[in-house]
Amino acid sequence: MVSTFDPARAVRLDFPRGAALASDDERLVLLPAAALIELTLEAPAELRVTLGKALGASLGARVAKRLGGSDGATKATLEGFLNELAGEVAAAGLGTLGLERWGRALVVTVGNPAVEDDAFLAGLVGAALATATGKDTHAVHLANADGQAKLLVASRGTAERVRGFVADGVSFGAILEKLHGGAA
Amino acid sequence: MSQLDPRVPKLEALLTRIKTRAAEPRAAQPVQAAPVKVAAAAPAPQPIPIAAKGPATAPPPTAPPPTAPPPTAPPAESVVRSAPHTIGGPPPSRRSHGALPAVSPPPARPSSPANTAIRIPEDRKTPVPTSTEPASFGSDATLSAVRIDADSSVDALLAQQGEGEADYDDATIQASVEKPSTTLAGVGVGTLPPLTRSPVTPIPQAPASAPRAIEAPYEEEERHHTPPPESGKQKAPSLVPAVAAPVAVPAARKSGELPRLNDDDPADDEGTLSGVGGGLGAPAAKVTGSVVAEARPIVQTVHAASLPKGTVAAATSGSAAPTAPSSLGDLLDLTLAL
Repeated sequence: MVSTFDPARAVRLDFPRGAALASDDERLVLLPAAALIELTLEAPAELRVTLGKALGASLGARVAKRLGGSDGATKATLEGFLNELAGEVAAAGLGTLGLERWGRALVVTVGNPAVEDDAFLAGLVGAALATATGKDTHAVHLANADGQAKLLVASRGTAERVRGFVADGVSFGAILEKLHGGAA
Repeated sequence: MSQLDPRVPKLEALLTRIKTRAAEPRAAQPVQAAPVKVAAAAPAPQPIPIAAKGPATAPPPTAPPPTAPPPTAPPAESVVRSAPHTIGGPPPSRRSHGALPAVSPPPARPSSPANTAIRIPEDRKTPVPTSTEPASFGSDATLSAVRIDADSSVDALLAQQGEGEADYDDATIQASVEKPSTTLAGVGVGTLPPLTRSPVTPIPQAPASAPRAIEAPYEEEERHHTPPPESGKQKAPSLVPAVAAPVAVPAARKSGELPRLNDDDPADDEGTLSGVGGGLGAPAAKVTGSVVAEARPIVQTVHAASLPKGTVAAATSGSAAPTAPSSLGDLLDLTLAL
């Protein structure tokens, strides 16, 4: 699948108007990552999730637009979709993106994240997928490994259940086992 | 007392006339405004697209002096041209009002690097609108610093980069964002090949001209180059049916630019991957039969210049595995059903 992501047009700086624009002319703000980090350090979890969702929804909307809407996004190959979304995430300076499949579970990896906040990344990934595909997807931060944050993509109910596992200290592998019907 | 010099009355009359003339009001004298010369000497400026809108922070120009001629260029252009002056010295608007005693230019900043870095030739100066305040640094000065150099040198740079003037005239500056990489590896549910390689050979950096890996269609026979040795950590939870074999094959290999592992070397086929098996139809090479939930997916990425790594790793396979989803929607349906 040929990618439609054009990095040269991902961010445009309109100096006369003092504006930074995305490829769909959405206005952006270029701010230091430290500002976001400061915010996530101070804000409660709900607000961090909300912030991540707002960013993720913006990224997902651009992906969906290029792929022909949410229908086009869901019909896209995994590689094709990832290519588009990873480009947006990279252009936003939020990190690199990858996908891992563990059985039927889908795990999104965020490498070199600008903001290493679990709630923020969960909101970002969940909202990006949800906005792009039109499905009710949620993300739960499972672990950090090798500089990558691993987030499980799940339904709302499963996400709540997995959050409980994480809070109980269940390991990454054990959570995947449980999701596939096993008893860790 | 001697007799008065006969020239004294004449001198007194002359002195009286001088006093009378000196007492006449100065307001009647016209003010010669400096901008007249500047405006007359300035050539018609080339329109600068970025100046069409003007800086949002520029204050509205004040009324020009009665004798000042209207500027020959639109104010917006003038603002852009004038901005460099605000970096290293008094703003040009004040310079144009140099004859007005009420306006005193601020002291120049000789230490400013921009003062020496940006110079506008006299023949390129453009009359500027009157302004009581210098343009703010945040928008106008910075912008002008870019644009003034862009008159010639940046155009040449853009031409070298193949951008042409179309983008430059777009009144926007395109951010230079490196093309992200896309090192997508195959998704191998049910089709995973035998995992027979152990040490991961360092992959040389792909040349910048290499085709994007993601754009190349994936072919099955490419998948059997699977990186490897995670076996020491791998456990087999046995809850997920079939064999989990994280597979990540850089699609850039299709271009043939990446070195391949030696297929003929039997040493490479030794069982460093015990616990990680093959998929449907794959030759059973040291398959122990269960998913390794805690094992990290083995991801082999292609390091292309300036490209982020996007990878897809598959960690499932086997006869009991569901049919490989062909699209993101199918995969999400499977995932959300968990």
